[in-house]
Amino acid sequence: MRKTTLAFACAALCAALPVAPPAAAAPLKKVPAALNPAKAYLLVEYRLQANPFAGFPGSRKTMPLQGGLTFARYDAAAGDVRGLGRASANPLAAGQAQRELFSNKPLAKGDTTRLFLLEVDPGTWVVEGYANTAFSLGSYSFDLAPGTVTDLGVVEAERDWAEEQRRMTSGDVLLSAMAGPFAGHADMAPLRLTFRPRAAGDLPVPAGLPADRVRPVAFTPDSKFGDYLGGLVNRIEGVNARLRAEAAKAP
Amino acid sequence: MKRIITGAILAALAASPAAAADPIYFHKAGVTREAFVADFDECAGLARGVREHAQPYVYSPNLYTTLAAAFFAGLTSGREQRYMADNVLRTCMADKGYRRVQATKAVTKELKGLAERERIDRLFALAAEPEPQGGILPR
Repeated sequence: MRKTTLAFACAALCAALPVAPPAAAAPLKKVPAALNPAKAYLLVEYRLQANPFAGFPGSRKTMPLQGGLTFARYDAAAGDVRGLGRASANPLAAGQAQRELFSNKPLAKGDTTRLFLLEVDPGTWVVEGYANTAFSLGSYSFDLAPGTVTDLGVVEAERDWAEEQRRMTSGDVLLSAMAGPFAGHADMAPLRLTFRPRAAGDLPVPAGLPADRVRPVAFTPDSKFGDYLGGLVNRIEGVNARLRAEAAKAP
Repeated sequence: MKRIITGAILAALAASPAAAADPIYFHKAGVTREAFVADFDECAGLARGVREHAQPYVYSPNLYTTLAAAFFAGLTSGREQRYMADNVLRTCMADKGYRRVQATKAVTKELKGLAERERIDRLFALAAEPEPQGGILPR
């Protein structure tokens, strides 16, 4: 009897203890003295979004970087994030992180840009999302080789508004504040991303990184997966942006 | 499997915030039944992935204020989740070439009166018609 009670107590205690997730690699705030040959490195520059209320006196010109890219380990054959959904039969080894969440610790700052360097496990990765949007309908996957730095270039995020939807104006904000919970619901839109190679005028590749180990990314488009971030979904290029472009081309 | 898909379709039709008062359905002229079911199953699956996000909590020593704040937080949180699920469904179906159509009162009444299997047949028939029955909504 006492043994049973003890076993139950142990089981309850074990269940209550938080299970430590695999240690996620934090963004590097300094260029490492030497690249770890067992790791891969990601270099990406964020272009900050313009503040839509910049016209108000004393307002900042750009929005703070409150959200950013989420990367996940990807199974290209199964077409899903490793260990989940269609790729549930292909989990990661113990101790490997399934995804790399955004952490606002830039390596370098420009007026309207932030440069990040991440140390991750080598393998196939996918751009899973950005802030509250998962690019489940079609995203970019890419391979990271050990001991190399893959340059994703410069990324810019913007809202992908559907037809007849728009962002809130200052008047809308004021009305919403006055009405409180009885205010009408504001339009919402998922984000879409634009990646472009690093060019003159962007933050340079840090001098401390060995130039012969830095390579531009090779994206594989149309990589699909489930909505595991719990927010909105989109194609990385934007479903609504594509529909608008098609409508503009139509005679 | 079919039960799950039918449930997803009905849930989307009924639980869509825009549909609470004005139900909608999706239309793509000439779509096959297999394609319609596969598309909707994928999109409803993504919409089911939407989770409630934690609301910022503001402490108050006043019990009534706390209760009122909790009530309104619950109200807006549920509404936010429904709007997000609707947005996911809308974006996903638009990506697959469907248009949203405002269901007429007759269509809504007809669908409510049908059994599960007949309802999915009718939804597919509505989706595949050459012309939609009702006003086309913005993408």
